Amino acid sequence: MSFKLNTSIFSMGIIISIFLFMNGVLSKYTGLYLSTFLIHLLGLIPAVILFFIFEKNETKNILPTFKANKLIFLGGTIGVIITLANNFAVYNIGVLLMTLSMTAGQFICSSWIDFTGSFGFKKRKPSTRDYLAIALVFSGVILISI
Amino acid sequence: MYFLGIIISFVAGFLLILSKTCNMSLSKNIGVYGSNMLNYLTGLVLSGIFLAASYFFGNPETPDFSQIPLYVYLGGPLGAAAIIISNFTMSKTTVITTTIIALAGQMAGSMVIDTFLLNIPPKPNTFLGSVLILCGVVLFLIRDKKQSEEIVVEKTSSD
Repeated sequence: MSFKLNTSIFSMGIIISIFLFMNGVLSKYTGLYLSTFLIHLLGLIPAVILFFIFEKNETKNILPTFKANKLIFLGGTIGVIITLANNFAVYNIGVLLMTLSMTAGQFICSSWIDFTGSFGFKKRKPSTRDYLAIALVFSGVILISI
Repeated sequence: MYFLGIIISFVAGFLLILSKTCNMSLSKNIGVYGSNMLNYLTGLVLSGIFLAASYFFGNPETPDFSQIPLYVYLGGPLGAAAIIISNFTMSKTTVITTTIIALAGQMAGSMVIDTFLLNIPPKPNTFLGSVLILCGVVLFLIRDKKQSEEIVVEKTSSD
């Protein structure tokens, strides 16, 4: 993997922690549901601008894709549940604990996808090392919960 | 509330990977920016329904928007930026590798925020828990790296 790719993914992590914090602050002022609505409204504006600048021609593919596979359109709706959960957690447990708990959840989900080959990813057989890794992650979650 | 916050965040993390995977599949069909736009559009519709339901069934207070610091409105656009980067990078590597590197960035960012903005110093058990979680994740990284190398070797020999 290239340095550029690694740096991009690392930056994405930093951006996620910053926007989780900002969303938490917004929810403190406006409440859980209004903040979630505002976050999506404000995120939609740059998203629409970028789409019409770079991928205007892709508009014709939206309907056929929706007819072929409706499930892949669920990303945004799942995102609403995640935003509600984050906004609730920021002021109850802090950004670091929230990040650690979310990390454990992401790790378990990624492992599940890799081991089952779900969503078209390459399937891989879990080893003893993988089970040990999962046990370590769960132990870590238990420790931070105390 | 403390334990509930941790459980809810754990579930949110699980859902985050599902959401990213959906967005990545969608981006293969309609492009990265199209996927990002639809992600926010469908999210806006559902959050609008939740908001309407909260007004209909509950009794929410009307917020004073003049009290809200302007920088917090950047959360949405930053989220859009993260989705775009995620869509670009996940198709170039495995899910677990993306998760591991992004996690390092998230932990670094959240430590800085907690220490300098929220004045919350990390507790000893949080530190020990983070080390265990990181060790578990690194164990996966080693195997993932080995598998990637094996794939490269297989491709080279077949060429």
